[in-house]
Amino acid sequence: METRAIRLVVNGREVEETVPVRLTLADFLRDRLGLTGTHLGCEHGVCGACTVLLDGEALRSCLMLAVQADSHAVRTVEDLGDGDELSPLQRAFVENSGIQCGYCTPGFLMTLTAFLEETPHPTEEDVRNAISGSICRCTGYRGIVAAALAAAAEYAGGSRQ
Amino acid sequence: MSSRVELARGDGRFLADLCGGDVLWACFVRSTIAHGRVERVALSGDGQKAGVLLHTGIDIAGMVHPIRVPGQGLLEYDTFPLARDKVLFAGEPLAVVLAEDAYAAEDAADAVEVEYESLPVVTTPAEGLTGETLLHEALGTNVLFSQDTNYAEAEEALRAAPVQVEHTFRYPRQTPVPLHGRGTLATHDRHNGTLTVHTSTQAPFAVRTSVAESLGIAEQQVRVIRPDVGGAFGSKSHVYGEELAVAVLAYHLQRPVCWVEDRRESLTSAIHAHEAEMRLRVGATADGELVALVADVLADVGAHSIRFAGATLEPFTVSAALLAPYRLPAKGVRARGVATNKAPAGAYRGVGFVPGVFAGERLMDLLADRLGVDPVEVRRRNLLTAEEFPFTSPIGHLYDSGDYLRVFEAALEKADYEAQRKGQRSRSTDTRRIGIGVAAAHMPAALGSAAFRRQGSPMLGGYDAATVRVAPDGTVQALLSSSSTGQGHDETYRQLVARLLGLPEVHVTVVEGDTALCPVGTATLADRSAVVVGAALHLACGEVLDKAKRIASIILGVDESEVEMDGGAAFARTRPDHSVSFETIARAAYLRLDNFNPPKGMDPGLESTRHFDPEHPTYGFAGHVATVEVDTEDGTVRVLRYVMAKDPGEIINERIVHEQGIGSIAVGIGNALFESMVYDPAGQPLTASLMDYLLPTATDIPPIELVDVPTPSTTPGGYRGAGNLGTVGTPAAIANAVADALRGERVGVLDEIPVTPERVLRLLGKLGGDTSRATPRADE
Repeated sequence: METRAIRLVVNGREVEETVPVRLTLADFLRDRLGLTGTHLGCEHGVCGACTVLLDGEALRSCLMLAVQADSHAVRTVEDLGDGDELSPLQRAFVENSGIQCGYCTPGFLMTLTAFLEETPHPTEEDVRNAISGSICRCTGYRGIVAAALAAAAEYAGGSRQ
Repeated sequence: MSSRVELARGDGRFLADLCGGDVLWACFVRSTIAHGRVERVALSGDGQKAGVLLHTGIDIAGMVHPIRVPGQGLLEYDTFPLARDKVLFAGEPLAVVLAEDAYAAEDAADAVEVEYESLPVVTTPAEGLTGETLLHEALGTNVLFSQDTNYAEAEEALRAAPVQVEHTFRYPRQTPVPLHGRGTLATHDRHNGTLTVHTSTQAPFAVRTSVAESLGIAEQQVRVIRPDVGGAFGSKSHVYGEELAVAVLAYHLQRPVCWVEDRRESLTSAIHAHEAEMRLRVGATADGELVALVADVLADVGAHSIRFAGATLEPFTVSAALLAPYRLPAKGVRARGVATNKAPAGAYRGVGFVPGVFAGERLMDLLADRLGVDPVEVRRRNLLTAEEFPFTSPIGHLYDSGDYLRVFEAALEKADYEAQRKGQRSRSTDTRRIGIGVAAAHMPAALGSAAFRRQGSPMLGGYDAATVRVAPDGTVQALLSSSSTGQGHDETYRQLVARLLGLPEVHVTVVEGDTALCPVGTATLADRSAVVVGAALHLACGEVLDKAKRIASIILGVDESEVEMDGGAAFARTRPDHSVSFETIARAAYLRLDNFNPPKGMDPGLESTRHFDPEHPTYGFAGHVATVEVDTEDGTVRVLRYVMAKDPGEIINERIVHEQGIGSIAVGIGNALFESMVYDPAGQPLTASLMDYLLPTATDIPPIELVDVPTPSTTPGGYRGAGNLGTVGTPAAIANAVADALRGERVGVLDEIPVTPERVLRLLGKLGGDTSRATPRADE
């Protein structure tokens, strides 16, 4: 089995590991680094639960190999808060009925974190389009959309996270 | 369950997160054919690596006792965790490999060679009914469930009806798709003999019973714990062979064994649901008052009966659902559950009430068409009103209380139905038609033991339990027999207990989903917990409160009847400044301090365990109004607006009930527009990924307006089940809306969903082929 040494930054920290070349980025984050907040819902790029940020852009970690992340910077849900403090977006999810079973949540959070950075004053339609690549089976999306808009309003009013 | 804050952080503890360290990873080898005898199962040369173990279904069978699914009207037979010498559906597990990591386990599963002798494949109940090919040969038939109710009498009543409408409806095969699939981690502790099974389930006690029964060990030796489940929607209310196999292997190999399914396995081998053909004949007076319904229900129950409800579930609940909320004098049903070479049928949010309400409500619209009246008129003339309760349905079901017509009217009012009707034509264009559809959704919630026995699921106890345990420091634990999978039990019950005991919510914690800690009860399903667990909590908190007040009265030196409890303290009504804190009361109860002399006969401690078994189910009702736009050029359907008025009974937590309303309608929209599990004639599943089995995303869900019109139920607390009323009515309302949009066109009858663009175009005669049956088949 072929392995390769990779070096990347994960949640601000440098990481060096030797990995099988077929190990997905999602499994690398979960099993090698213990960052189990990134979830697997389909492993074929449809549900969005595995979404992480690579150099600031949202992508599906189930469709990427760990070796492809070599020399890049990855951010996962564990990096959104500040110690015990939730990010305004995370807090908005909690307060706006954006979370029920919690399995889809990290994927939506990462997608929206990148989206709100790019589009700080979205309309509801903008938000729905932005999250149309992620599936939630519990909430019907209303709370997630409300959370995104509430967070956008808060970011607009104060400093960015 | 992890809190919302923890989940927001990504700190949830889902089954997949628990499998690390020394575990053996299990991967199931699954049948690639739909029906056949297994001739040979072997690990190929490549697969025979160090540390890889193969156990066939026959090996596993040698380690267990067979278990059965009992039920009224159900054919019972022995079942084993995995297929042994015969496979009955593509995707059925027939062997398992174990390896030191998940990737190696999948490699090994790929390297298992299986030789089959193919047998003819049964993919429809019609084929199954001929009996030419038998799935379970020893049973001599493919009809696993059979029940006739009042059929001849209803036919006679129908004959006399001046207006008669007949139609056959079909509902597709669908599947719940929880985002976290199934998974099990089992560990056997040699020292204390406990087999601990972490599993993503709605039914920890059913799993415990089944594991113990399979292994032939005492139930006390098995501990089932549910982690954060990651959604379930009915699919995890069953006990799967894979779960049992993992437990059995951990027990025998003396090593922790872990299994996490992937999405393909989830779609093709976790339960399917809803697939039914319903031939309905309804009779009415010239004024549109219902006279009789005769129904032939043919449910495709897949290859196996699995715990808890087996092949009973769909045919029974479809039958119950048909025209249930109406003043219907006579109802006869002939229901069959027929086995086919497809995944076993089970529960998917709303169970048979989804197809049954779809068919019944489409039929009501056809009746309205025949009478030349607006669809709401036939509902107005037939929906039950408050004075008619308690009401016994024509098939003997007792509805406790309600006011269905009032709720329905509330939905119409909220939806501005009259105005929508008036403006419908002007809002429509030649190619974009607006349609408005209504539906009356009705289903029982909180089935008790009597109802489960009648429904053919005696394995479900039907009761639930709550232990309310006060600690010596006055904090309270509520240990419940229910097991949430994301629907907010912690929040709801913490709030309820705090309210009932007059305590701040921070002093209350809720514990669920651990068979070693919690009292035994029924799986969490079918909208039961607010009603049944809520009732048990009322009773248990009542007892704790009584004892606390008695203790307080002694400490305060007043009569017990004078004591009130609020804000964490007990005080004498006539002297509110004369009080004692709940903490002091608890300390007195346990530690006998604070000059507290317990009366003779008062045991130490402050706790109560109470059960509740509803004598009759409570019934939930909702009125739905869907507004759609149908594009007659490309067939696309957009839901523009959705309104649901429901009777949730009393409400514990408004936010949670509201969330369930939105979420359940979203599921219903998926059912109506997208979801269909398709098999080809060889029994191969064609929709085996999320690219083929489509689910709604944020752009598919329109603005949803909810109204609550509560009538208290007759159970303690007055609650009704609320979580499924959206799903149950949405496919019907949307189908009716689409049919309404196409009114005036030369179209076939919309009698099947999902309402895909192909179906719409076929109805409009724009795609070739058979337009008399607007049903695209897999081979077309």
